[in-house]
Amino acid sequence: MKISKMLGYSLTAFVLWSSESLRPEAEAVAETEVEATKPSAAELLQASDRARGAAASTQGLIWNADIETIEAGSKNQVTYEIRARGNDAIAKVLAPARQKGEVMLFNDRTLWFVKPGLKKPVSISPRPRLMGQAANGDIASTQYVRDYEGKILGEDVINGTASWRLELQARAKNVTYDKIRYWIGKGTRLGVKAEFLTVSGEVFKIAEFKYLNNITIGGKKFPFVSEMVIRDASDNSNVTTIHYKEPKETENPPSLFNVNNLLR
Amino acid sequence: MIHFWLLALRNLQRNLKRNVATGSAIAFGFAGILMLGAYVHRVQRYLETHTIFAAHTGHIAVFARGGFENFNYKPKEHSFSKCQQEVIEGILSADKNIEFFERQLWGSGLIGNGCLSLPFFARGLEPKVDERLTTQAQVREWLPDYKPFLKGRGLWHYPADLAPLALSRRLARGLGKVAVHDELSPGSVAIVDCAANDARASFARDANVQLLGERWEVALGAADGEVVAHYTTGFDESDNSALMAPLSVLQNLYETDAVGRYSLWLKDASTRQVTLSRLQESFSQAGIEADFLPWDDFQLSPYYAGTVQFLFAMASFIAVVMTVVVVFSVLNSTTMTILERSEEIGTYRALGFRRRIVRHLFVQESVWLSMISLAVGAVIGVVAIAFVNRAGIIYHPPGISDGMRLRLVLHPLYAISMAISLLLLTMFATWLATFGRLREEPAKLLGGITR
Repeated sequence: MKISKMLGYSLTAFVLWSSESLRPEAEAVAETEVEATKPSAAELLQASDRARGAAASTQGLIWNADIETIEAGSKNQVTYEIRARGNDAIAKVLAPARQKGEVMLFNDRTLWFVKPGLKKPVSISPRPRLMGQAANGDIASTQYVRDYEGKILGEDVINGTASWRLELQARAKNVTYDKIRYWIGKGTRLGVKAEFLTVSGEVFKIAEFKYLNNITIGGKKFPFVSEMVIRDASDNSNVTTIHYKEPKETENPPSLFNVNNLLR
Repeated sequence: MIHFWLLALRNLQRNLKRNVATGSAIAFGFAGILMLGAYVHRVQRYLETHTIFAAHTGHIAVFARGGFENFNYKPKEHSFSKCQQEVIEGILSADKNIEFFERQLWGSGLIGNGCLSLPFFARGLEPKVDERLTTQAQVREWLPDYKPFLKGRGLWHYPADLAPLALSRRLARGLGKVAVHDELSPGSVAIVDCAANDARASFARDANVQLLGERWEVALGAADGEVVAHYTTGFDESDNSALMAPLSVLQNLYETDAVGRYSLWLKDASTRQVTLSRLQESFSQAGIEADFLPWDDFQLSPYYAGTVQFLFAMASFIAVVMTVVVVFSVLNSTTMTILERSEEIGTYRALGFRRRIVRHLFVQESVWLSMISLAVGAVIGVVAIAFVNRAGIIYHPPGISDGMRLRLVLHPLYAISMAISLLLLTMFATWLATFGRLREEPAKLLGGITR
């Protein structure tokens, strides 16, 4: 009896010891499994950039963007035709008539402005506002994965969508914003919301996105941004809405993005 | 009475060495005060002329209500529309004291050379008014060496469709636009390969630049321009961004027909306040809300107001110190003289001269001494001023575009008032020195008891 009792105690002690000693390993395994499912910030940015016109096609993309601003009660609208290929993009004004033919060319991170009749192109920064709340760098394709160093900071639910919360830090001075707080949907991997921050970390603009467009690239269908609403963080009534229309894959020759060709 | 004056004059010779020393203090002190006053007068008139004419401030500046503070942020809301301009110009043309006026506009943006863009702050002026300002009598008198441009010619020499621009020195250098329109072959526009090694050298091959600015209504606006002149603002902080353009060029860039302000030049600047009140009333009756600022307002001309204020404070301090030195010299010398001449005073008193008469005698001596010294001082001052003016010294105070020749201009009224002031002060010092001594009894003075 005594022996069996002792054996029993020993067995219990062994089981308890072994279970204690195995527990951290088991937890580590579980955590590794979670880490494996959590995407990297770069993967999330790449996926979200694709739905905002970034380098998804080797041939190029084309879409129209109506930029509508409401500021201090007055409303304005400009329509652009945007063509993108790789890191380059070109935005050409289609309307209103008095601005027709004005072009913004994005060569990698360098921006050019060209107007009919102008003898030379003007090199511009992506930062100044183009109209309303939209900066020059907001209108063409988004290249967050190229321009920003991303870090996943946590998870939030934004407008009912479970999202990763990322903090993006500018990799260079000549990008549109210094810092962005960016929410990307967990399931969709599409940008849901962005807060644009000053160098000191204060939010000065807030953007929200909708993806009602689709685009077919290489036979595969992807969601494409249909609306970006940018609000002034200090005055909600100052709003700029970019409506993205008719996105499709097209052949954009590299010569289209040569600044010298724009003046000929 | 004349006898006393002659006696006082003769008495001056009795202690010649001391009187010469005292007289020298008065003469050199007065010469110094004259030179200081001449410097302040000249600088004040120079800055005044520079501010009113060269800087296009006018005698009166008229802004749309709140425009002085807010035009840069909300130009559309704080400017004069085309309709308002018609009414305003009717009022200004009808006013008998307004010689001429100028419409102005200003704004910021980017200026590019085809590869590189830099920020600018532009003033849109009327070239014809600019030309007129350089020929004004006051400009010729007080800014005789005034050269508005370091290189090139005024905007009025070029047709408006060329969109002539005058660039501040460092802005031109930053863009590589070292040559101006007149130095280059006409019509040449060099297309530059920005990636090429010699891109910078290529910028100088033409004077063509592009201006880019935010339109008042919406989106970006751009316009070509031709660099026809270089100038300097005199301030480091604006010398790398300032440019001058015809009003029409800026209106075209910002797509507006509005103007930001009017500068008014008066026929008779001494009646400025009356004119200003009259204009305020006329504007009010016409239903135009406007702010009127006189040219010397601290907000409108901070450099002028600040510099002149500082200059007056500094000059007043130096003048006071010099005057005190002169007065104390006189006081000291008179005290010594009176002590030495105690027996003489005692004799006068013993002979029946009243204290007042004796005191007058000493004061009359002092008046002679002062007048002779002031005359000598005036001659020394005038000669020294002429010498400084002939030296042709150029210096570069901040805010003066082309440097300033050190010239001293004596204002006769100032010289006369300072001479009278010094004369009165020396008389007072003499009176003060004699005051105690003359109270002594003649016996004591004759016996030299208190010596």
